Amino acid sequence: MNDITLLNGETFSLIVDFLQLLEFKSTSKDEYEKFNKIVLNGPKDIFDMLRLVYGCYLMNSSSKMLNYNGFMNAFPTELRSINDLTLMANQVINGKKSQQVERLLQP
Amino acid sequence: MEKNLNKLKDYCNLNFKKIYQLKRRNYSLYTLFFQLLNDNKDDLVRYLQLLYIAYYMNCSEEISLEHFFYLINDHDLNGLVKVYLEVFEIKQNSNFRRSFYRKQPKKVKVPEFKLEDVEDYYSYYVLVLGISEDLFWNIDLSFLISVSVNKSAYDSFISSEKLKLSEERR
Repeated sequence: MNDITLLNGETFSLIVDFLQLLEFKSTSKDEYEKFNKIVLNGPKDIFDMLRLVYGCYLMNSSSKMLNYNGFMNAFPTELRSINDLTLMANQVINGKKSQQVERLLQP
Repeated sequence: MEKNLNKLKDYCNLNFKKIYQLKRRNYSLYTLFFQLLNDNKDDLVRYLQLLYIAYYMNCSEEISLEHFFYLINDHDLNGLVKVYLEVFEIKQNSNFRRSFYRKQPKKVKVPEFKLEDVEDYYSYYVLVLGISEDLFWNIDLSFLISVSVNKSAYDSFISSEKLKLSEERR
């Protein structure tokens, strides 16, 4: 549930695990700082929302192969609308298991 | 969820008595606590670490950071930030405080200083600002810090007014 499958076949979840967050800070400091700023100030635009989802990718994907541009290209086309990204960003920050997000990410 | 957040806030409730007890119980956590407190960065991991140490102080058993994260894993980031702000941050936008800041002339400069342990806080809050011992040891940290910032704004205003008057008399 709440997993996203990228166009390259990689799968990751939209959950923020605090231990992973700690590791995220020590392994990808720049990306962590962007993620941190967006969580604390709220996403301002669609790119901020995608950046939050990218943060989850860096925390939860087993490969973490893609840089941000690669991630944008591999992001599923059917999930690129403002509405869908808003739901996902809200899930990352507020963690509510929204039925809408679950429906959105169902295969 | 709101109920859980209130529970976590209660478990992280802090005062200087608990912080002083931590000094004897776990000195490395005690020094880390003040390092993080003085760091002042808006940082999620820093918030989580401070909440962990606050939780540790309220817990009679030894608890690891990993175990604490496991216990709070069903909380969301937004909720944890709220708990952090309630436990550690001073009340923002205080009109009382702001009115004294406005009237303070710029030429009175207070040297910059850092409060790095309980002794420093005691010296500044109790001996310099005149906050009562009972309040210092027992009241919530955020309340105490807010009161001390208000008091310090008021004191700065009074001393600058005195300075202005004495200059006018000359």
